[in-house]
Amino acid sequence: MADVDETGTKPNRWHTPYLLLLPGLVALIVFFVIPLFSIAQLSVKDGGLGNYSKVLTDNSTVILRTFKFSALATIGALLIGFPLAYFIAMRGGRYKNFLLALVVLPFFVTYLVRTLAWKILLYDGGPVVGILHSLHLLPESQGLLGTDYAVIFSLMYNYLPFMVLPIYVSLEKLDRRLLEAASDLYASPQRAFRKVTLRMSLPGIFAGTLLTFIPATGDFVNAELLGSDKQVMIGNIIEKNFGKDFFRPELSALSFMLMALILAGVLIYAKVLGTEDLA
Amino acid sequence: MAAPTIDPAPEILARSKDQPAILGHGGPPLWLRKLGNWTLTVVALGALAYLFVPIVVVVIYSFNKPLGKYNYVWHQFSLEAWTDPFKYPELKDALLLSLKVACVVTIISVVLGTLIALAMVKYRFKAKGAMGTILILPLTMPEVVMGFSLLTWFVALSWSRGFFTIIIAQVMFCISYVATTVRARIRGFNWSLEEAALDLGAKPWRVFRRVTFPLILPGILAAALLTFALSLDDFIITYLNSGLQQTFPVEIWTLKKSRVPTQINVFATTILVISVVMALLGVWIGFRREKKVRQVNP
Amino acid sequence: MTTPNEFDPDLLSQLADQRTSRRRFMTRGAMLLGGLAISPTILAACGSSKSSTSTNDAGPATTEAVADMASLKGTTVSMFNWPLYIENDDATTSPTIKSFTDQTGIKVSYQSNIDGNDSFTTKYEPDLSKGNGIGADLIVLTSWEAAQYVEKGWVEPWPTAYFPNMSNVVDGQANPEWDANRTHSIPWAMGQTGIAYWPSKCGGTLDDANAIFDPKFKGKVTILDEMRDSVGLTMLAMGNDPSTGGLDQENAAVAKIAAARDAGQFRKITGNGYTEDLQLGDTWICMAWSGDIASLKLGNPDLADKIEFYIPTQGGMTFVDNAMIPVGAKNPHGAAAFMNHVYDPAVAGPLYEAINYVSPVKGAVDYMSDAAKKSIYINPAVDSKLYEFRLLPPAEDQELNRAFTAATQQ
Repeated sequence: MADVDETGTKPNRWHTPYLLLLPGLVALIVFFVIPLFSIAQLSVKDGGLGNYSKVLTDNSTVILRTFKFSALATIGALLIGFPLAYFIAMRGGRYKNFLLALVVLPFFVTYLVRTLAWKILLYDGGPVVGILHSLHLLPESQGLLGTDYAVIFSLMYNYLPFMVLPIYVSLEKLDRRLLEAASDLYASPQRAFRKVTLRMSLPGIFAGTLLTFIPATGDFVNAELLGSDKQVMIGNIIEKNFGKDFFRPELSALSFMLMALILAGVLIYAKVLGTEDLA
Repeated sequence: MAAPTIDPAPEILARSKDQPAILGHGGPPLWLRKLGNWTLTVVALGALAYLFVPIVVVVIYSFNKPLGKYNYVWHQFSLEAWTDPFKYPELKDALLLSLKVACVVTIISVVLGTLIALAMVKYRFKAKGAMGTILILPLTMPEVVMGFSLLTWFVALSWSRGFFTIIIAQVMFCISYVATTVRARIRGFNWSLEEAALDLGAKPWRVFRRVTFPLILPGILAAALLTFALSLDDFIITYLNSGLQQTFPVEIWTLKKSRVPTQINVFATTILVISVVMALLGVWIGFRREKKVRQVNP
Repeated sequence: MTTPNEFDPDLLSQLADQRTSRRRFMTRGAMLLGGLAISPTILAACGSSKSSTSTNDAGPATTEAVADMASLKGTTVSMFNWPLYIENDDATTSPTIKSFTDQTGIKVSYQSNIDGNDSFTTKYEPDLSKGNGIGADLIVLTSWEAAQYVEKGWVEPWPTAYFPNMSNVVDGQANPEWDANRTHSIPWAMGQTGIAYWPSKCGGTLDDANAIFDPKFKGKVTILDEMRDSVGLTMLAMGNDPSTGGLDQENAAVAKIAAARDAGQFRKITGNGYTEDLQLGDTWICMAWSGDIASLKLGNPDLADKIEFYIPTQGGMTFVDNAMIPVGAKNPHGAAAFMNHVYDPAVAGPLYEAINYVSPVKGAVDYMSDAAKKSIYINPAVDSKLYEFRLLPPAEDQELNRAFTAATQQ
């Protein structure tokens, strides 16, 4: 499925693509790529690579917590998002686009305001806490705000559409006839699901996982609005301290580490997709 | 990667459209399968409810008159915020700034991003892979890293943070969204139409205006809408690169320490309603165009 | 309607294959960065030379003998301040601003957009260090930050002809070590950091700073994320003096906070948000700012007798927020004129009564109502021990900051 290329091969037009790219590329290089080098440079100020081990040990609690939260939120989003995507793709019928629109609709309300709504919902004395208290799922003296659960739950909420949409796209491409063929070959429904549906949706699942996990690791809004200082994530450290000049080398090291991990993830994703023959 | 192109008999195709995707040969009994289907429906609708509950809360609480300065607990029904939405000038100014920024960012990103998309789709050139990498990075980078790195760069350049730094920060990730969206939409186009026009003696600029541009316009419009929404909503990157002027989300953040007024919910609800109306309009226009096309090409 | 970013499998497989091109690209970028690294130093050099001249040609001549108020009619003074420092926290209804405009014809554009000393400085450092205006004629910053501004020459001296009422400043604040004789700054408000609590939940009246660390209240205590307040009060609880302390005592206080946090003593470590939990009774006792508690009581009459505030017997912390004219201000004379208005005891009295902060203006108390005169927020007892945290040199500031951050943000 390579992009068309006929028009570009004429000898006197070789420069056209570069001319088209130039303005956007220059902008991206100056204001996106170079700043990344800038924090790399800042991160080794006054201490070299030793800064990294210092930052890692000083912030180990926060770093581990961030990945724990993001992982749990991603798993939760997958457990809820896959059935939703499956339902829309396979059972949606005429209402497919309408249901998709419903999934995207929450995004029309500003991120901050959506998250503040969770603060309202999870407030001590609010309905959710009330129900949990009466069901004895939560001790009477405890609330939900300022707990890990609230932050993870809200992270999961804010990134759920990022999980649902890629899975939906994968499932939608699924040719029903393949399932027909599977059943004609005497495969049970579970087998057909595992071997056909699940496999075909793997690219979507991977994409959704990345698109959920990555932004979640850098998030600080959910932790700030719904958590206490016991739920501080990497993003919060950066947000609380980016004003202090002398802190920026440490924050740069933190950012750079986060970025490196994400790049590793993206490359793994690329490798998996590049070599496998998944539709 | 393309599905196999064997065409089964029409009856089979028709049948597979109506029946559930999993046809049974062996496997669990009917009642279990029905239970499974029912569970799926419940989970899916539950997920939709999960997505919706906060939105409903936002709208409902726009009619709240809180006891104190924070609109967190329901106190009493009131239309006060709706009749006096501009009570807090800082919120109004922030919203106006957000709209201004969104317009500028959309224009710049759409132009730059579309050019990139055209280059990526129509031509094969050596740096294509590297370009693809650069394009994908803003989409996969956590906003806090992007925002913070840009901030350190602005500090190094000793640029004061203000209107222009906000624009730059937002354009950086919007270019990728535009390029990816437009690219997806215009892939598979029949570019030989351009060739044909050129062969018929049209100048390149005319070809672009009359042939290329109308073809890619739907993609551009979709990307423009997406960018506008993204810009309006952006918080993290904008926050880290703002100066005196604050966009709507940034204003909410800095204001929340002293107050969370109901007017915020009013603004959010209004934006929601306007966006939904615009989306519906877009769909409706799309339908009508399709009808027209089908009338001409049955 | 919206298309999500669709991952292009071809693109990504190309990505995986083209490692060499990426490496080449990165080396090119590194060279570019090297080149660009030079430019900031040039720009910074330009900036610093400008700021050193600005201290010498500090805007209006300070030796003007007579104020020309007539020429200021119709001009505007732009002020940046903290929230809750003007009546009703709403400049459009402020009697102080209204009376100023009525008397002098000068308009005031007032914004409560300062929410942190650090964040304010981060935003405006480039402009200030280059001597460019930041769109304000008056800014208000806490003493330790203000001290830096004075030292770096980021603020202009008062055009004293327009500010004769400056002499009304209370004696204790007339001559701080970081701004001799108040040539560049003047206090806007003075607050106290003490302890707020529910007597009903805490078993009676309290007066000790150590109540914060009392295991009886485990999990129901909040402290502030403002280093000088939390560390200061802790030092007082340990019997030390925060205004003279020294790094050893300060680090000991940080260690005490860290230990208490690990033991689960604190419900939260917060900024202004502590009033929410206090109001609801989820927090029984907390470090608190006087102004917040005063507003809380006024805004919630049913809580007024349920929550109490005290300055511990060991002493409490005080902070002073200072008004200054930043460099590049367009209307420094108007700015001085406005401060002159505020420093009129007849104006200051009602203003500080309304905002519930201690007035730095001598004689303002005489113009307040009897209730205000009795209020410990506005008129604390003369013998209440209030300490301002010692002025930290930059290296110690960083070290303590780091230690506190590590103790409270992990």
